[in-house]
Amino acid sequence: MAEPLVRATLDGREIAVARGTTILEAARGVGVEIPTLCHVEGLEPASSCFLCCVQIEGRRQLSPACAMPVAEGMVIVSDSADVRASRRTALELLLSDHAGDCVAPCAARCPADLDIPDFLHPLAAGGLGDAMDVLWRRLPLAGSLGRICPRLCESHCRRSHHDEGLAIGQLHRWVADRNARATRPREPRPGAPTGFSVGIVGAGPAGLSAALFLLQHGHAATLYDAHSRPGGMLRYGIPAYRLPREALDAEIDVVRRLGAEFRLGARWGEDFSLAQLRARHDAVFLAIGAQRSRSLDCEGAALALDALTLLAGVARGETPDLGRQAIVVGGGNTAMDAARSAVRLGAEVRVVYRRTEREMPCLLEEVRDAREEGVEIDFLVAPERLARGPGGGLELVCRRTALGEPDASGRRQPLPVPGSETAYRCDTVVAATGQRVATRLPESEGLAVTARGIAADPRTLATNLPGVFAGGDAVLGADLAVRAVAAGRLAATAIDQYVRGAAVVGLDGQVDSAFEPLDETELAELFRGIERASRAATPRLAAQTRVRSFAEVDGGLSAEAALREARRCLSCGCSAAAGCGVRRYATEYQADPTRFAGVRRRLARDESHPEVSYEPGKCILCDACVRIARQASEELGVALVGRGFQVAMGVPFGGPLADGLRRAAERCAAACPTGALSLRRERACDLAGCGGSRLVTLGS
Amino acid sequence: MTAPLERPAATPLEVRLGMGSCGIANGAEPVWEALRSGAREAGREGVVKAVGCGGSCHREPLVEVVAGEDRSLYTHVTPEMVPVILRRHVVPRGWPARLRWAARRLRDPEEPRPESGPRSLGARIVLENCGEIDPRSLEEYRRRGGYAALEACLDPARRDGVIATLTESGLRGRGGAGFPTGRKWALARRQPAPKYVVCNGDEGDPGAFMDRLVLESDPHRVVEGLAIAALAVGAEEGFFYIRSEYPQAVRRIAEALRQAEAGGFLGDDVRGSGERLRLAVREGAGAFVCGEETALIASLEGRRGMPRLRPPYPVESGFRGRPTVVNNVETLANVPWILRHGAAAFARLGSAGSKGTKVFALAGKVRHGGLVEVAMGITVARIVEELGGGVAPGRRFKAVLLGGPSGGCLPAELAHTPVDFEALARTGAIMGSGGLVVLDDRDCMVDIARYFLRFTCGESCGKCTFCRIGTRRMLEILDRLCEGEGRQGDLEALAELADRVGRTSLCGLGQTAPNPVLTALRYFRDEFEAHLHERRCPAGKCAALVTYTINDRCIGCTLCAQACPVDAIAYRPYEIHEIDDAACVRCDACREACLDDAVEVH
Repeated sequence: MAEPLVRATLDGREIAVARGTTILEAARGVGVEIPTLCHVEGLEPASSCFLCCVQIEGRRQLSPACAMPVAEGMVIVSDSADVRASRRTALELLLSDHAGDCVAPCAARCPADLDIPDFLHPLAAGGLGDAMDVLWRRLPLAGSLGRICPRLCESHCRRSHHDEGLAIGQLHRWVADRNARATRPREPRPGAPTGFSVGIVGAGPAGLSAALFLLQHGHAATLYDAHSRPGGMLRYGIPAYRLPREALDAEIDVVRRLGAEFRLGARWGEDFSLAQLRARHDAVFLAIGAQRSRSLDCEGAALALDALTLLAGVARGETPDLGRQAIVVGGGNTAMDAARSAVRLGAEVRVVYRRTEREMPCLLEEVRDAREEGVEIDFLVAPERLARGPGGGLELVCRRTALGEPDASGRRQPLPVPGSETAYRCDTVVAATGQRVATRLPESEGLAVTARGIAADPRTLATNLPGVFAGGDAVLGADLAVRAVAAGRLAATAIDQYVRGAAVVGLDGQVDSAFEPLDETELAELFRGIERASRAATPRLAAQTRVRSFAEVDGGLSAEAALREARRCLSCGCSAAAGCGVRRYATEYQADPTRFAGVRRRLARDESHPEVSYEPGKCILCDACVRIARQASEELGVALVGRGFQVAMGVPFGGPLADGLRRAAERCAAACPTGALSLRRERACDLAGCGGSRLVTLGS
Repeated sequence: MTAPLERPAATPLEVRLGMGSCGIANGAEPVWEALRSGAREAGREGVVKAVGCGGSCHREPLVEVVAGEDRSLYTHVTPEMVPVILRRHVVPRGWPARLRWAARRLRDPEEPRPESGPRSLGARIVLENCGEIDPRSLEEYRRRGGYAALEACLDPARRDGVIATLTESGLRGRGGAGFPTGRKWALARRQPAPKYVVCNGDEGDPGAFMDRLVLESDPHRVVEGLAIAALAVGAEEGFFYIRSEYPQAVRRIAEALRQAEAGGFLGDDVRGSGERLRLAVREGAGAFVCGEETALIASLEGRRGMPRLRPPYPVESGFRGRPTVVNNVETLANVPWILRHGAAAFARLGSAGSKGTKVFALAGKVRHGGLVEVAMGITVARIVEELGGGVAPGRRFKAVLLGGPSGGCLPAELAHTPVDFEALARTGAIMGSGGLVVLDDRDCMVDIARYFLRFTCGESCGKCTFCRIGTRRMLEILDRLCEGEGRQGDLEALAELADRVGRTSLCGLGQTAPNPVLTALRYFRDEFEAHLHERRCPAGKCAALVTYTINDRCIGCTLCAQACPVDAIAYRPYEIHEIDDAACVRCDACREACLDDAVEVH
């Protein structure tokens, strides 16, 4: 005789289940998803994570759905604001005690979200093509960026605590260059045509990147650019000795081959209007960059040549006569590019900068290279007035400065020192004091703007006009090329959502756990067994050679050096990140991993088991392995030991993990909701020490 | 069945010495030797008796001389004081009457004075035998009516009335939650056999020792209570789960079980009734959480003491998956009394929803601490004033903390609240298992909340996310506040965590852990704000936030300089003293030493 069913209400709907059915099972039966980390199908509930908590009417407590049986007349709410907030807090608490990096610290810093260890691991194993596929997914223009990117990734490479950070930029440059020269290069494929078309204004890094991803979605992409050739600032702002045109052209050609249409020499406001593009295309992406140079803030500023004009001219193949002596005003990368270009045009060059070397926004290596090439740099001087001298030359009168309090940019503000004028005689003054976005035109077409550029929602890049998106320097003001590339991918995603009529939400805001700064013992644990090895060096042209032409200075890695360098990668980041429940739910519930930051578990690794790695810092005490080991009748098994905040999973009586898990290790790893117990994996650096059978050669 | 039993008259003369663990810890053993040899010399060995503790643990070793209605209590007794006490009360056999009379009038220069003070208000039920009888004597327990209730229960005709009597009496669980005992037993009775009964003697609240005292001082009473429970619900087996930190309680119960078995009150044929009843002692390994019934059962089964979700409740599925009744020591100690005196006698005491008495461990800033028993319905203020003797002169009674780390604070303004489950719960405090700490104006509420939270945080079994990590994060916030390093948003985060930890934990430990914080925030939020916004501790307690200075009331007596352990006060007689703030460790020794209120804390 069948027992009568238990009737209850779940989220307003009637349910009827067999006696003893838990709320979780009942919810799954009617398609209501309740999150859980500790529940394992077929095992008795642990009810410990409390992610599955639900509200039962009339009770102050929230109840764990995985263990609470449905009772007659129960009114259950599985998704109230309070329940969701509790789940988010539970995740925030778990993350506050989580010693693990979901993604490697290098990757976490990459504006384009390149999973660097994921790219380096195939490379270390000799799989050039697989490495290139990873690059295409996130980092179009990888060859160009490898040359010019300031590489936030490298400065956060964990190896920098051990020997030296990896040459990540050189590696993706090498892979992209090698791929471009391959007989059958890896290239992205266009998506099945959707019939939608997107107009992109600006064929710089943001526009090219957007086109590349839009074409893969199957949308047509037309790039409009005022210049005669595509590339934007990469071509017209960066000198060829840093980024050779062949390398850039090869990467742009991929976009072209993928089906992008280029309308070159087409200038917004003269040759077309935004309104026309909106009528012609289903969506528009404005990637116009920051094209307007700031003029010198002094009397006679009009006598100066602006750096962008100089660099663009050189890029077009012109060889402007700068005279014998040139002075470049500014301390950024553009100033260094202008100075070093001027050297190559035959001038003696002096840079004047109003702060000190510490405050210079350009790369340190640029300063070093410029000095090697004979550029003099004067610090703490600011232009006062520029005038035509008696002999036809120019006279730049500067005043000495002293540093005051930090300003809005966080740098100490230069203050003029009264009565400290010096005069420089020269033939040319180049102003390299920054660029900004020309906003008058966008405003005239109805776009909202900010102090930096066009106003766009940072999550979706949507502007105030429907179907019009904007990104890159056009929104941020003069910024990194890699951020422009990232903006291109984000724009493509948002535009794809827009034209398909889906909710425009941009990319999923992945929530990641990250270590706080590691202490000495944790670093020692991390580098246990890792030999020190220096960073791969690249051949460089001697200074006296390079000032004679615009030939590329840096020769890049050799195949051997690239392989060796890739094998220095420690494969930081969590091998279980893709399937990690904590990470998935943290993203779903938008948990803030730092909200309850405090004392946390320590980084530790137990590699003593032949099948699995145990990282206690990532354990959330879900009890799954304990229950699985018990079910598998392990003699010793594993247990939770200790009390309070210090409770940890361990083998009873402190034995090795291999004794506790003789049979069930793989099942435990599969059930582990985080990366605490995971199947042993090979890191890129593990390939370095192996024997001949694993020895591979890169490239051909 | 409820026929009252005659209380036998006291023996003509008894010299009682408290030999509970509190007495022994305070040096009762040499006193015992001295008493025995003194009595032997007087030829009256039979008059000395080792008893348990009556509640004045802090005044041990404690000798009470009882001669009929005449009682004299000697506190802090040393072996040297024994001859004097004996000379006064124990006249050697064979002395003529005149000499006996003269001996009583002998006075020593430093003679101990008898002291007394009330240890209960309204009624004394649970503690009625404590400090009165020899806990190792079954006979003495029986002389006071012991095991009569159990024997009555053996009559099947009367047994059915047991649960009814308990229900009628209104007895509720004394472990903290206050579940009606009669109802729990009735639920268990309906369950199929085999069933189990368990006495929860895993008392773990810091400062609480009610259960230890009863187990040590009147063990047969608890054995009888558990035996009655077993008979009433139909269980044949039961356990005393006692924490191993209570070795004397474990010994006393084990001894009592042996005696009861020998006396036929336990065993395969209880008093010839054919009933089978086996009770055994199990020792807990020291985890606070094992006081929670599902964790206790897991521990009894030989597993790690971790709670699980209820339902199912232990009365349905407990020890080895069988119906199990878990009752607290104090609850069971009430049972024989109720059956002997009748439900009405018990129900007469107390308020509408809370009947009988409650035992409290009174501590903190009162003049007389110790264990007290009060009738329900009596106000907290009366406990503090009449039993505790109030706070020290010059200090202001600020609050009481009820229920230890699971409880909450009750501010002085609400001290008129009666001892009543519901009335206390409405204030945010709880009846709890009986801890009652009195606070005065020099106690910092942030610091007190931190003290209790540190305990629960450390005792969490680690299972539930909120309890394991949430309490730790709360503690970190309180640590920051006490160190003067509070951050914007800390109070909001603290309140949010407190709310969620309480509502999202499986067992009582996690559910009640935030109570000290929640009530302190509710009644003393201004103190939290002062710590956060002004980096100031209004009570002058938090070392990082206070400065000690000496005002011009100083008479230059050097007492403070002598008391200072770090020489932060220069020894300058007849000058106003000064405290070197850099050297001062804020130990408060100077303020305690000063007789002129010249030490100020800001």
